[in-house]
Amino acid sequence: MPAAQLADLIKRRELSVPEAVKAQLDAISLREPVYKSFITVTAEEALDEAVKVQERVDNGELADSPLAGVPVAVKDNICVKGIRTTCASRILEDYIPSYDAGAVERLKAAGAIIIGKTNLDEFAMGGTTKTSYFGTSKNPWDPERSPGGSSGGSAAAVAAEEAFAALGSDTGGSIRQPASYCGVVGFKPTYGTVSRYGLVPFAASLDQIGPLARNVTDCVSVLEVISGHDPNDPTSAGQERFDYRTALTDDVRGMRIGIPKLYLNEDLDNDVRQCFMKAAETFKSLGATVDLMDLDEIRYSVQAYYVISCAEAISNLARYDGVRYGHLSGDYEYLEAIYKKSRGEGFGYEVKRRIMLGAYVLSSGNYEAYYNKARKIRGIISRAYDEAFKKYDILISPGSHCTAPLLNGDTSGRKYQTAVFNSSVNLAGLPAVSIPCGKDGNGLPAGLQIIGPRFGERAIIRAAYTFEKTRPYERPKGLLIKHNPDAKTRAVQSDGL
Amino acid sequence: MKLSIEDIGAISDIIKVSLTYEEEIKLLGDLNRLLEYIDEMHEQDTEGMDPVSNYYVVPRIIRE
Repeated sequence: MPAAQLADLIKRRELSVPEAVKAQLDAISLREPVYKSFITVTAEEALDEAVKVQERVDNGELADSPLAGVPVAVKDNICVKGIRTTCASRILEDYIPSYDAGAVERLKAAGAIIIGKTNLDEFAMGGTTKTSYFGTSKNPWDPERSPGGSSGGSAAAVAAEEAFAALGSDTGGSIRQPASYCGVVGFKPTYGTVSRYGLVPFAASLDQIGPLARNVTDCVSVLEVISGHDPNDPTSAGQERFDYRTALTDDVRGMRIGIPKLYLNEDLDNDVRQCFMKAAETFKSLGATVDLMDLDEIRYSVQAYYVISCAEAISNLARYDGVRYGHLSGDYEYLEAIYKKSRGEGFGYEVKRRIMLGAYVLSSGNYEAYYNKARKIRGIISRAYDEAFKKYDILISPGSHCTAPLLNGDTSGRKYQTAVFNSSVNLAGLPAVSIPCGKDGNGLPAGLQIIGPRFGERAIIRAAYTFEKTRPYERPKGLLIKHNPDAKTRAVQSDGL
Repeated sequence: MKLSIEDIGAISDIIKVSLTYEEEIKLLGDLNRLLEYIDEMHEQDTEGMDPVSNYYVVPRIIRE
């Protein structure tokens, strides 16, 4: 059942919030042993909160909220007050924030219930969720496969129906790629739309929080709730509120859609390429114009992304020194050893790899050749997209190179889990969504990415909503279902959407 | 190879992260491969351009 429908049932008093939360927790206890989407399930807190939200529903306070009583999961690099926030790292294993992130505050104000903190790649660095200190999550379409990353736990939780929606974060594709792998909708908004206050930073000029859900409408509802100016985040855009739900219109006639040729030159799986070309044909048949176009300036996006994100990361991760909070090594004899040993023991290999690169590119002698070079390329990329959006309303691409890879296999020869069409979007600060668009020969979902101009979410939403009407949501085959005799519980556990 | 094992040790001192011997060896290979890939971006002509941190100028918020 879509979140919108659940909220409706709750507001019409046909279902109580405690009943909905209890049913969701039942589904989690059934499926978690297999999919491991969560680092922390906040069962007690959710049930307590359910009682309070029910009061707010009863006195009419949440009459306009699209998320009243809806269980939502939050990626474990986003602070929730009083709940362990680990960033999937040993160094923050026991860290408990004393405040809610801006986006979480807004979810709570809208009556959503935080049901748990989802798994991720350590400090959001990765594309498989395998680098998590707490073990990897499994793809609900095939538990032998990765759900993607770094918001793998969020995507898995939504696809496995362990939450109606989830918050993820996207620095180089970390919402869109797992959404593709898990067959759900994942939205990265324009940089500055959603407050980064409370998002543990990886690369401050690239990070953005965004929603994942099983359909475009729910995703857009969450986006509308969490977006808007936050005085606690100096990079937050000035607009108080964004109106997205009115963009949910089913009409793309006359829409000008571009496909950069460089996107197609990426090393794509054949099935992914086929699904993507079919999606382009679908847009044509719905009345849009679709053209191939040149966008050569984005050729070195992945390289520039690595340099910039790793450079920013070393600054953002410098605070984990074993002193203020976090893991403190027992093995030291002098001050510097506290830092080195605590960080050495606390960080995983991938984190170390990235911050080593960051230190290298920022060192004198390399600063100009690497860091400044990458930032100049960033300017080129941003300007190129600006030019492209003068001629096109949206650009489309596959959501990822391939479908979900095997957890135990090699990464099918692809060394860098982000693609040109993922990382360039973050470098330019643009919005983009990934929606399911087909399946490969193994029955695994493939995603379609729709990119818009800065603050052009409405165009993306219109295109995504229209496309979705041609391909309604499909739940993963083989998802564990327990047939519950209680009709209300069954309804929440989505006995068929 | 751009980086030597001594470089790995020096960088890990800068970032204050202790590394095991196995990690140092692995990083030597990984970072050199990564740098080879990143070096491709030098083919892009950026003559006369300014570095950009955030292309879209966000007005600085100042306390009153």
